[in-house]
Amino acid sequence: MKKKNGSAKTDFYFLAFVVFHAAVLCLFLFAVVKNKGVKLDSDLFSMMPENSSSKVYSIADENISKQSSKNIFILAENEDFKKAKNSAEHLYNELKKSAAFENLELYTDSLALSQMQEFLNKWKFNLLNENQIKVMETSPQEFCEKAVQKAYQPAVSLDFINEDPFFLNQMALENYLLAVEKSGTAMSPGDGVLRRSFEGKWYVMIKGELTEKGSALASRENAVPFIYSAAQKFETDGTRFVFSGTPFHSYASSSSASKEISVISTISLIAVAVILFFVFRSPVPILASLCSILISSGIAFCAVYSLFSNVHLLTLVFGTSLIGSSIDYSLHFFINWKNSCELKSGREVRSYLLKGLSLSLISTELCYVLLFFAPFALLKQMAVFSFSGILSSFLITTGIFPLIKIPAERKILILGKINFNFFNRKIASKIFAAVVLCFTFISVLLFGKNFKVKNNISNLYEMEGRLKEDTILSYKVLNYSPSSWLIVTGKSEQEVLEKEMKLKEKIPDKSICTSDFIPPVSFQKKSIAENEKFLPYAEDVFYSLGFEENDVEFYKDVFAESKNSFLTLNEKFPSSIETLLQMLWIGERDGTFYSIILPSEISNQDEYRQIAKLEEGVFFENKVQDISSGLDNLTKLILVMFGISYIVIFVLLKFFFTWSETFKIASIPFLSVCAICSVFAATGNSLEFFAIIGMVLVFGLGLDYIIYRISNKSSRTELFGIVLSFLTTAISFGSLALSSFVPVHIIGAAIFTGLTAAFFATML
Amino acid sequence: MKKKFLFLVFNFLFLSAAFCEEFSFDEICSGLVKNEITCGSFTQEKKSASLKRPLKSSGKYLITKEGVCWKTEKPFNTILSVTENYIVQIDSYGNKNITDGSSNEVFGCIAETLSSLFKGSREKLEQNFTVDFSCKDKIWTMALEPKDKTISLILKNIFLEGTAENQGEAVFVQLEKMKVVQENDDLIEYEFANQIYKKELSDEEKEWLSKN
Repeated sequence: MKKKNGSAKTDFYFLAFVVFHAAVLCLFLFAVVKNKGVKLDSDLFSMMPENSSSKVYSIADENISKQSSKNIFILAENEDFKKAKNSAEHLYNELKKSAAFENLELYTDSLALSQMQEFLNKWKFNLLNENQIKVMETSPQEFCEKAVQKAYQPAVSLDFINEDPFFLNQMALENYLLAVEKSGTAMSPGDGVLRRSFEGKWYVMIKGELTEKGSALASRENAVPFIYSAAQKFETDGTRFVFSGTPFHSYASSSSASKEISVISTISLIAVAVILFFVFRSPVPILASLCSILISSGIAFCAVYSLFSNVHLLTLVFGTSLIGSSIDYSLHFFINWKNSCELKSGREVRSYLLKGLSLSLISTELCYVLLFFAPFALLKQMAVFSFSGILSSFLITTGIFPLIKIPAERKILILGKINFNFFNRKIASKIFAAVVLCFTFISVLLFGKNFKVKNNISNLYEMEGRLKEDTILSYKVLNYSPSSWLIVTGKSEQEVLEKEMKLKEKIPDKSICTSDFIPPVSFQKKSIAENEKFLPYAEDVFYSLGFEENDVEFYKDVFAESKNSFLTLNEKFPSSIETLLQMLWIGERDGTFYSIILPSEISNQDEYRQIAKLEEGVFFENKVQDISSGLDNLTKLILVMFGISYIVIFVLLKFFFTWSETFKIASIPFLSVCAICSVFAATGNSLEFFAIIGMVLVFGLGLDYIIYRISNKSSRTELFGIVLSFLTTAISFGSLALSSFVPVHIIGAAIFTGLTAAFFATML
Repeated sequence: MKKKFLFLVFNFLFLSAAFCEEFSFDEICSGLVKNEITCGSFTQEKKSASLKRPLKSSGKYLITKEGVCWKTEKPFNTILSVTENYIVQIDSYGNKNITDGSSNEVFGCIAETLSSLFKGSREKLEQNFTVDFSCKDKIWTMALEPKDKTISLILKNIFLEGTAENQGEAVFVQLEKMKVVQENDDLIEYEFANQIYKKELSDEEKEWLSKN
């Protein structure tokens, strides 16, 4: 009868396993077909609540990132300008051979100037600025005389004088150059290149844009190693190259982080495998545990993708918590599978563990169910990922593992040699709890200010070595690093341009925007009207310069031909302006037009936020700050959710355990959280997103330890299971604390601290 | 007869030396700035293919160690001063416009290059220009081509012409003509006359060269 029951149950768990996994896979395949592929989302803005501004930020960010993520700046530094220029030329010629560059610039050519003059001559009547119109209106005589005087000046080109007696072309050029000067780097044209003398040294700039392939990370075609090796050849005779731009940082962080993490992971995995092999003396538990991790992670990924049509990168980071739970289930099963001789089959092992496993599953899943109701898409993804992954892992342990044949030899040798009773647990547990609480109390007193949720994404990446030096130096030399901007939206191109002009008057710092180059049509009409008023004056100017009546008529004809043409974004612009417009003008998305006003510096953030607040359809974005505060909100929400979970789990546990046991169980996550908060505060760190993710993992694992412990109080095997589970998790995750890649280090440190506290509290 | 022949040869050699007196580039350079301040009058003629007739103007000029200044008086009153670090323009309405080399490196470079013309420093001149110098019959010429590729986008050549003669141990050098060829082949020709030399600038002249 008993056997029959067992068989029926096996069928149920096996069937549950098959149905659940098949269902998720079917949904996944359906989603893949529907979306024509699998997408990974790495946009940090998508973690913020969905509203109109996040969409705007995301669109603006996409445009700016598209430009900046592939741009590189290389400065050739030497005390002697000629040597600096010479080295820059050598490097430029070397880099030009590579196909990794979309474009590469060293020289400022004469073609660019003539191209610009031709273009401006065509649009000269449309491009007067407010001040110039004012002078024309108030002092027409002065304006005409100045035009004549200009003709006499040396270095003033007379190429277009017969169709431009007022030198409108030159005025437009000055306006454009002023706008470019405000927007750009501190480098200036000199001897055919862009250069700057700074603190006794000359810097000559090479600017480049990498192709998609050239900027691809973890690819052999990434241009950065090629640039470094090419530059090394020409770092002679006092020349040094200074590298800056996102591709250098992306390359450095991705290659060092991936190398480092793979080294740490490999070593820790080998250590875990050795321990497991030493304990089980069989590869079956190791392979089965590994398969469980892989299958549950895969199913978790499929479940998230099926529901959301994309998977956020941070969901995967958070998903590492799955590995801990998965290992836990597997170890508890296989320790009894190997050591508990009284359990004759896999099904009996499962039956024996079912209460602990089920309670552990329910308590953990409950946290994630609650998290699913959070108003952040990212948190929903994390909840689905962990929920489905842990369920998969549970079903593998209960549905598949019992099918594995029980080994002939059933003894874990080392277990017999461990003495779990070498101290008085009752006293030790009280001392331990007191120590943790005292440590927390002292930390609150001494480092109280660090007990807060605070994220700063700029702290998540630490530059090192030469790249750090280069970035600092390049920042000083180029004097350019825009990090905040105003985003202007409107229903039409003209509405956006008009808003820009209006906003420019209020902006306290130097800035650049599309309307600096393309004034709204309404303003161009004003400029043309002013020029029309000046047609009679043209006669005087022409005669003063020796021209005749037919020349005046020609000029009038030129004006008549141009007066109904307006400069718009559809025009072909000189290449230097085109590049700027690509960054400043985002264009139309879903019926809304977007552009960016880019200040070269931000003197007062609040003033900008106020400007944006007062104007409809205008947004101020400080990417670093906005993402950081988005992470703050997310972190706080996770904390609140887990606070609620904690209370619900407490109530739930009361149905299965006595009051004393319930309090004991509930005290473990509390002590873990106290330990993590205290250690972070004492080391001068605030609680931030990745620390909280670590805390959540510890929360689940810590509960598992104590539930298994209380469910099987007298079992040495279960106690050993907890020890082994702690060791494997502490090694695999704790070793991440050694990483210099900040997010990984934080998660590792939080897990190690919390898990250690939970383990000792459980064991005592 | 023999004595007469020798006398003729001697006379010929002496006269040749006197009329074909040649000066070195260094002597001309240092002669140009021997005087603290050189001032005089100038006429300017701007010629361009786009014009029907040349644009003629005239006025006074100043060459000092601080910089050079053109004070146009006809057909209107304007001032253009070029110093090593900035360019000053004053229009006929008295509006002063300063283009500072410290804030605009391109103008800084132009100002430095142009002022090196009148510094009398061979080193500075050769640093900024490729120089072709010649001197014959007391008349010296210099053809200058800017080395800086950015400047050469605007300025193709500058030709200077003047006279030089020995005055005791010193060389007396005068700049008489200057021709500027722009990149588009427009020409600006200057003629300098009535040069006088003095030690100090008047307050008004100081004002022309001043940034403030």
